Amino acid sequence: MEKELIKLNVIDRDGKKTLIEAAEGATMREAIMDKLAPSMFALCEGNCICATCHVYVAQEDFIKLKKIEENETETMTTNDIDQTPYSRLSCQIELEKENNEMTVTIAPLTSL
Amino acid sequence: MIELIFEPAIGENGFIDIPLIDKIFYNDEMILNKAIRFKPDLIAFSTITNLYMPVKKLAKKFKEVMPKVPIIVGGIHATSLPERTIAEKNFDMICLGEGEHAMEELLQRMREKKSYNDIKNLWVKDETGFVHKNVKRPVIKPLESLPYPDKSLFAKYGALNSTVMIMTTRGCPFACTFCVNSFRNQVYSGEVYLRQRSVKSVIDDLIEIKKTYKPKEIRFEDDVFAYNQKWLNEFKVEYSKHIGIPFHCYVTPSTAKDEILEGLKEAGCKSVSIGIQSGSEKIRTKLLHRRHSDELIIAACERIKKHKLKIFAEYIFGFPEETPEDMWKSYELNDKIKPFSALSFIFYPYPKTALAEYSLKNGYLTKEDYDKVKDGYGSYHTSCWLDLPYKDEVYKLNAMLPIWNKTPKILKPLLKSILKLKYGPIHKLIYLASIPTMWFEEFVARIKAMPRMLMMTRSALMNDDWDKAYKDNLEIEYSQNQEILPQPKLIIENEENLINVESAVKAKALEALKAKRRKEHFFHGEIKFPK
Repeated sequence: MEKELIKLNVIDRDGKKTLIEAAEGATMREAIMDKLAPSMFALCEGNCICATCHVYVAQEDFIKLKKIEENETETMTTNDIDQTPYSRLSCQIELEKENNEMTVTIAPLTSL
Repeated sequence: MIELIFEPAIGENGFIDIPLIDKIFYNDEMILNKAIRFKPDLIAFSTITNLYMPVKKLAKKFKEVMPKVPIIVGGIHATSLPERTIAEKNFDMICLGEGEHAMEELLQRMREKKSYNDIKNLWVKDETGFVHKNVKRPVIKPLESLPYPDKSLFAKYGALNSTVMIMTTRGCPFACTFCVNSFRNQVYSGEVYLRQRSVKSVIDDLIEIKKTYKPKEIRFEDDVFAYNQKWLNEFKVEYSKHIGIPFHCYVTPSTAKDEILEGLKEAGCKSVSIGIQSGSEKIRTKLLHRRHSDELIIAACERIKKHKLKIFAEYIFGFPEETPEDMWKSYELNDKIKPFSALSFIFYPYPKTALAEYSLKNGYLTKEDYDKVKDGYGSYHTSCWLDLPYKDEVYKLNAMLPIWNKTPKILKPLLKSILKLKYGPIHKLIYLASIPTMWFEEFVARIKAMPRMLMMTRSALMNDDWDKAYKDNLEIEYSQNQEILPQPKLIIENEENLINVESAVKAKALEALKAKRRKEHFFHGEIKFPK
């Protein structure tokens, strides 16, 4: 069976919103990296250790995501990110039909 | 043919520099003579910043005796300071980023006597002194496309003893502000610099190493080893089946998870290094971008011990804004962790790293001292470059942590009273005395290997083992190798105007070329860290 294309609104670090598409089952990290390749993004290639693929999910879309696992929570806590209640690591989000047209914002990088 | 003729890790820069050893076993004269006998077509160096100084000195000597042989320098130093490095008169080229494909292309072009001014990843100085700044290549993917590193070049100098070092990755997923990886990740923006060799590639390489060099220990020198659980699951089976040699590797408080540690233990891991860097949570979080709480670090170390792995904890002293109280917290945290060994270093402001730039901007590092660092002065063992009010504390606490770690609680008040003294010979002596205690078995192995290494180094420098029948016929006629660009033809009757118009066209073309280079090149001046 052919996989559906999932639409995703991505707001980059400059505030620019882009609509991208990715195959169902791909991770959000793969979709963002493939289409937008932001700077200093997803440095560990989806191994859930660096937290550089941190995104803020729109409040209304957040509840549609699968429950966050302990590994992801731990990585967010132990890395240098500004966490909010809507924080997720995009490498841990597998895109499904329910996520179609969701909006995420790539989290800013912290600087000295 | 490739020949290794210089191994800069000993001497010249604050490490072991014993004149008698220099005289008998290796010295510049022996190195130069070997190079003259070898008749190289190209001399290539790779260096990090704190080893740049001896490289620069030797390049000057090479240039004096072999002025026509081009010299190229690569490594993180040239990558982070390209303008400064290429400005050095004895370097003809620099390589930015990964060098394998650029070097391959360069050698091929040299062999074919073609111009090499436009090779990607290289900056090439032509005979007029103009620097051709070429664009970067994408990162090499997959790493298996590269041949295995040829360790025989090092083996004949006795550099491979009972321990053999190997890497399974390039890059690091973290962006600690004091580390060159943060800068490198910025340079490769839009790509993922971190790559890992397949398990098969690593195991095949190790099978050869095991057969050839018979090591007693393997050291995986990856910045972070086995961060990928799936990779580790495959690796542990293959490693224990085909290699079975005890190994050491690096973990971080974030990656020291039970499942990973279990996998490492099953594979044959005996010990791990873990970077704590500072005992002060404030320094770690705000300044180093390592948001590990004390509890998390302690828990990670407990897990490591639970899996019966020896811990080598690493610390750095002398960060900007660090107070003696912050530094003392490293001692306190270390007492809670109780590692097998504690290793300490002094903050070295590697050029272009976020923390070096921060130190400069906030007055902790003078421009003059930063320039010295850029010229390769000092080391992370001996030099505190920052203008800190507590410099003495930096040197003292750095010198005494390893011995503090090994000292029974009852004797610690004695060490405390020594710490209260002004920094001097006693602290230096204690530091020297602590070296064997950091890892006694390793120390003994190195001492045992030293005479052999020195003899082999001498032998390698004195004896020519290359195939002398080999002749490449490559003669460097540097002036003939330069690219001749077609000039625009103009038909203008007035000769005076012709000269003016020609030069105007040339100037315009040059400007356009410069603008194009500026646009295409991956270095756009000062690195701007995202806010």
